[in-house]
Amino acid sequence: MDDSVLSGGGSALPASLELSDLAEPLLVRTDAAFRVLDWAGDPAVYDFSLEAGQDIRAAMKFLVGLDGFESVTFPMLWVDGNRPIHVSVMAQPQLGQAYVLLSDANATDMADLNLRRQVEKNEIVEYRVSQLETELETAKKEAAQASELKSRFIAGMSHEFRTPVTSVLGYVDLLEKDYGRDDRRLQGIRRSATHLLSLVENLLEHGRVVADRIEPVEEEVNLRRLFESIYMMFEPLAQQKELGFEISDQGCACEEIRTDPVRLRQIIVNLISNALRYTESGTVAVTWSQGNDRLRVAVADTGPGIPEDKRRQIFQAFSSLEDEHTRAKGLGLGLSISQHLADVLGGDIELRSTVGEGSVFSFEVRAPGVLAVNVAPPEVQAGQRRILVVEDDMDVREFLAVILADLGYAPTLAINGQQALDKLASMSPSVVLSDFHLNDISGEKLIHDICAAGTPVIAMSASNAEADRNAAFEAGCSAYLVKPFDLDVLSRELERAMHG
Amino acid sequence: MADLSDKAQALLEAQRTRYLASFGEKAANLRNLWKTRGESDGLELIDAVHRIAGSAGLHGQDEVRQLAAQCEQVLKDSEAEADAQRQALAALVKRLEA
Repeated sequence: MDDSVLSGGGSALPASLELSDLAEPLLVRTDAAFRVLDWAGDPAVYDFSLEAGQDIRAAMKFLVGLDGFESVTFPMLWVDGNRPIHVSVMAQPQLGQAYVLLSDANATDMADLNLRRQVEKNEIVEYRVSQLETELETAKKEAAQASELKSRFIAGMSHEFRTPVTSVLGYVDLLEKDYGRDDRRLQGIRRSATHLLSLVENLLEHGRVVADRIEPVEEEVNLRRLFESIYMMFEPLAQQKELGFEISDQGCACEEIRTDPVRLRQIIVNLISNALRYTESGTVAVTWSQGNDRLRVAVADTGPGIPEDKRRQIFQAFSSLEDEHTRAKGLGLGLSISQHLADVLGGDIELRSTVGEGSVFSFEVRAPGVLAVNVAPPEVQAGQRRILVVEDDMDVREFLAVILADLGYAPTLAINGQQALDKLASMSPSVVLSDFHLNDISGEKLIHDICAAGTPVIAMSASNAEADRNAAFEAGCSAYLVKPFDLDVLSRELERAMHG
Repeated sequence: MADLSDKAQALLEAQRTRYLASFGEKAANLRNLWKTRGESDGLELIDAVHRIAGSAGLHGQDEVRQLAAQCEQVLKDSEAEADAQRQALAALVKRLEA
């Protein structure tokens, strides 16, 4: 320590060394023989009077017998019957010096008492915290048990509800045969029953999600039929709300896929149901495509849109965006369940939305195609001739299916070249009517392979290019029809191809 | 044209309605493919237009068919030209990097 730090009279004690006012410390520096060098603090507080060079033991009798080479502490001393003091002697033999520190022991006692009180208070708090933790743990267990009971109850009730609601829908089907699908009374019953069934299904599924009990049950599914049935399900509701509603494919490499049809359907139904519920005007458009063993579905609406800060929330259970602008009501389970189901099917739901313009919910799930080699050809009635139609455009394929059936043929449809070759062997068609521009196999190769199997082919294309026509004939086709073709020409060419 | 039964005509009419209703979506798809044509070789766009050229006439939309056929031809020509450009550029780059 710098000698100038403690100057005689104690006036130079730096602020950083100031102790509590209560302790009123007196710090005295001495040499090894306890002669006072300087001090800080007021010696009069302790009824001492100090002078530089004085042997401190003359004033502080309690130091008699000690020297400046030994550190010692007196926790409590009574000096001349006055207040108790605390004394520490800190020897620094290497410097030939010692420090003697006096402080008011009452203040120290008080500090100790306060410390003890604080420790006791902490112990009480800790005890209380541990009690609360125990109570919390018990409450959590009770809540988990209550939740389990609630889930069982909901699952049980949902199951009990589903059976009669399904029955109601069955009777609606029967009544529609007599009264037609346009009967508004039946539309009302169907709409309500469908909504109720959807709620019940979601409650059931939520119970499974909570219990983490969903295992996909895969089977072969015809995508086109699946989407057709979904269209039939929602079309009345869209009509009632005067909304545009359409479902269309954007390319389908294979319409027969393997997936869990119940869960896939549920995701699509939930997304469409939400879109129709929240859209008050405009359109709900569903697009789907299948390729590379994946199914992609997008549901676009012209509803109010979803604000950025709500997009995470709406995927949580029992959460929905009902406000004064919508009359929509729901449990807020659909998206939460759909997200979980998409995950089960190997995918994820994405959301793009613009407030005031609408939203697009899309997802992509695993959907390996099943080559329809084991699909039984349609039953052929007497006088009907089998015809294999190869066309990758749904609009054209459906058109031809109606025309050919009406012309007395039994059409089997293939959506690409590979499916056509697979079906060729099992159905032995009288003739093949094939698009010339397919995505998976070139028209020339397909015509060549089919002709090589002994079946005549009529090629069709939107292209009237000479090069395409020549290529088709060189590959072996019997006729080349440019779309749109006259049905008389089609009929004539089919007869000609079959007879020779 | 061959005479079709009432049932077939009703089915075709329903198809025609659905087909007309799909125009908005087809247009959106074409816009999207046009926007992203730089990311692929452009064949997807040509294929989409070709499909419309094929289906429109069958559903009685001859004007759409004609527009689609013209569009397909222009796109094919342009694609061929772009392909030639790509090949010429590739040859130059290959020589420069040799």
